[in-house]
Formats: sequence, C-alpha cells, structure tokens
Amino acid sequence: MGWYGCRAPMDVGVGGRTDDPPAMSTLRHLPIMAALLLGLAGCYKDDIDLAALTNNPFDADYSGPAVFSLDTIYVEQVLGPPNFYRQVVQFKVNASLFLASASYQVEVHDLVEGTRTLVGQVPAGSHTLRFYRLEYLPGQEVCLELRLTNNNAFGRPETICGTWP
Amino acid sequence: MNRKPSIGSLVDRRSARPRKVFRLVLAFLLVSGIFGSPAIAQTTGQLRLVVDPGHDFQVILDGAHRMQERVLDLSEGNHRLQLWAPTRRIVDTTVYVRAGSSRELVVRLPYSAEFLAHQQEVKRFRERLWLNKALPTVATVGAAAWTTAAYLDYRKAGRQLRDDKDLYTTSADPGEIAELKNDRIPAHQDDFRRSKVMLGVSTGVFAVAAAYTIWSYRRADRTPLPLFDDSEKVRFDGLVWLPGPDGRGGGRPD
Repeated sequence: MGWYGCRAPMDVGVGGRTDDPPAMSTLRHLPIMAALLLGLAGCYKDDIDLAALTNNPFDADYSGPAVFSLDTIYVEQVLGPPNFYRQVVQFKVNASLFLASASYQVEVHDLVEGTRTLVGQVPAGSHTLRFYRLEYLPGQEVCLELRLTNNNAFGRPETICGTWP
Repeated sequence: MNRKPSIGSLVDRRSARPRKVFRLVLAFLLVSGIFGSPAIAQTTGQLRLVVDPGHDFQVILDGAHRMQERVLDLSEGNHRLQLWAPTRRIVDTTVYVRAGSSRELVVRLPYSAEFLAHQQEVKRFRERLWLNKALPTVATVGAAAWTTAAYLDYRKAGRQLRDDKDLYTTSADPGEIAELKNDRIPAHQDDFRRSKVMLGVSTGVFAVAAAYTIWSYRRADRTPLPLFDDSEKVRFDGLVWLPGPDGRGGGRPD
C-alpha cells in the first residue's frame, strides 16, 4: 500500500532561523507544512479494487487456476464383516494457490446421485482427499462438483470428471 | 509751678529743630550704609514651579523669556507664565510675586485634545492591528487542527482498508470473505473516500488561511503607526522668538 514509509505531519520538524521572531519563524513554515500535508495526502491510495480481489481460493468469486484436480479413481475392498467394495475418487487440492496456510473441508456434490458430502483432510494437513461411493457402474463417467468450505460457507465450485474402472 | 521760659532757653529751642533733622538724616545714612544691600535683595521674590509633568515642561515668562527652570527669582509684581509640555495644553496664568517671599505654583498641565484624539487613534490602530493578526491566526490554527484531525481520520480509514486487504489474503472462511467484499470493504472505502475529500478540503483551507495569515502579518508590520502632530508645541514655539545655533531665527528650544 502507498502509505508505507510516509511520515506523519507531527514528525516534520519546524525549526526556524534564530534571527526571526518566533511568530514569523512559525509563519514562514506554514506553507511548507501545507505542502507536506498535500504531499501526505498523496501517500494513501484508494487502491483496493474489489473486482480485482479474486485471488483467494476460498473466495466464491475466485478466478484463478483450478484448485482441484482428479488424482485417481479406484475400487477398494473394505474388510468387514461384512466385506464390501467401494469406489474411491481421489483428488488433490492445489494448496500452493492458497494465500496463507489454512485448514479446510471440501464439499463434494455428486452430480449423478445429487448427494452432498463433506470431506475432511485425512490426515490433517494433507491435501489429497478421497470421496467414497458404494454404488457404481463400471465404465460410467462420474462428475463431482467440489467446493472448499469452512464454517458452513463455500468457495467457488469446480467440477472434476472421471470414469469408473 | 508755672515758670516762664527765659530768652536764652528760647534761643536754644529754636536751634534744636535743625539739629534733630540732622540727627535723623545721619541715622538714615548710617542705616542705609550698613544695611543697604539686604534692603535691595528684598525687591525680588522666589517662585517655585511644581508642574505635572515635572520632567520636561517649559515656561515662557512675561511673553519674552523661554526657559526650563523650576525656580524663578522674579521682581515684585504680576508676572505672566505660559507653561507647556509635550502632549500637554498650554496653561497661561499670571502670578503676583511679593518681594522677599517664596511661593509655589502648582500646575497640572492637561493633555491636549489632539493628543487625546491621537491616543484614541493609536488604540484603535492597535486593536485593528491585533484583529488583523489574531483572526487569521485563529483561523489558521483552527484549520491546522481540522487538517490534523482529517489526516488522522484519513490515516485510520487507510489502515482499515489495509487491514481488510490483509484479512482477505489470510482468510480461509468463504463467509467472512463474502461479508468482507460485500459489506465491510465498500463501507470502509466510502469512509476512506470521504476522509480523503475532507483532508483535501481541510488542507486547502489550511493553506489559504496560512497564506492569508502571512500576508496579514506582513501587511500589519508594514502599516505605520499614526503619528502625533503636537500643534500645541507649534503654538508654544510661536509665542516667543528664540535664536538658532547660528544666532539667527528659527532656533529650537530643545
């Protein structure tokens, strides 16, 4: 921001020539003070452009590169009882896009089934997340709408698609 | 017993009168010879002048002699005194001086009407001068205070915007970000713009006030004081002729 390095008007020294009467010495510096104040007015800049504030991935208006990317889709067996199989959609969150380190959840909207599921970072700090689904049709394309979320509010939705094995 | 004077005694009486006159004349001559001088000194009297102001008054005696004496030795009789001092009126009075006596003449010279008018004029001048300096100074100090307050407000609004931007950068809460962008930042931007305009206006007012103050101080310093023309002095100078340093006319008593 523009105001860094600017001096407040109170910091400006107002010395005077010793042979001047004090009143005139002060008066002699009034134009200088006025000029400094005018200069200080230029120190601040109204430079917050709301339309340009779109670089935070947690912003619903985020306009940067994709945050999510599909890593892999696979089937895994869960040992019971009962034993069963489930599909796993593993995707990655591009944490390098974050402006500051943050913890988060991801809301997964299954566009086929219409379900919405919150997926957390497991383990904490990991940016590779998994979405599980019990029913699947082999060879069918699956599309998930993903959004970063915290405190029940959501970022920009992104869609990733893949095909069930 | 009734005795008639003899012829001899009559003769003696006739010759006694001239002798008595002679004795009186002799006594007078003796007395006037021994005490002659003191008898002449007692034909003058002393007049001491006690005048307000006591330091620089002047007096013209009998319309002819201009002096600054405080004690005058004057011959017996009426004497005209015209007293004057700078800024005062001429006081014209006649004093009877008795030979061999000493007396005081107490006079307070009143201020001349011109001087009183001049004093009023000087007072008005000083008041006008004071106003000419004080009002712009007060306006400038007020404008400076306003400008300082506006600057502080402006700085605060600027810092608020900076904090908002920092919060946008660090926040991981989409709700907070939305609230920031929809409500807080626009409100703070309004505050910032308002304070910026206020700072500009106050700075402009301050600059104008400061310039006017400087100008008014300089103008006041250049304005000459009203001069006092002592017309009573001119009158007093005209009452008596004084020789100048060269012995001719136009001399000044000072």
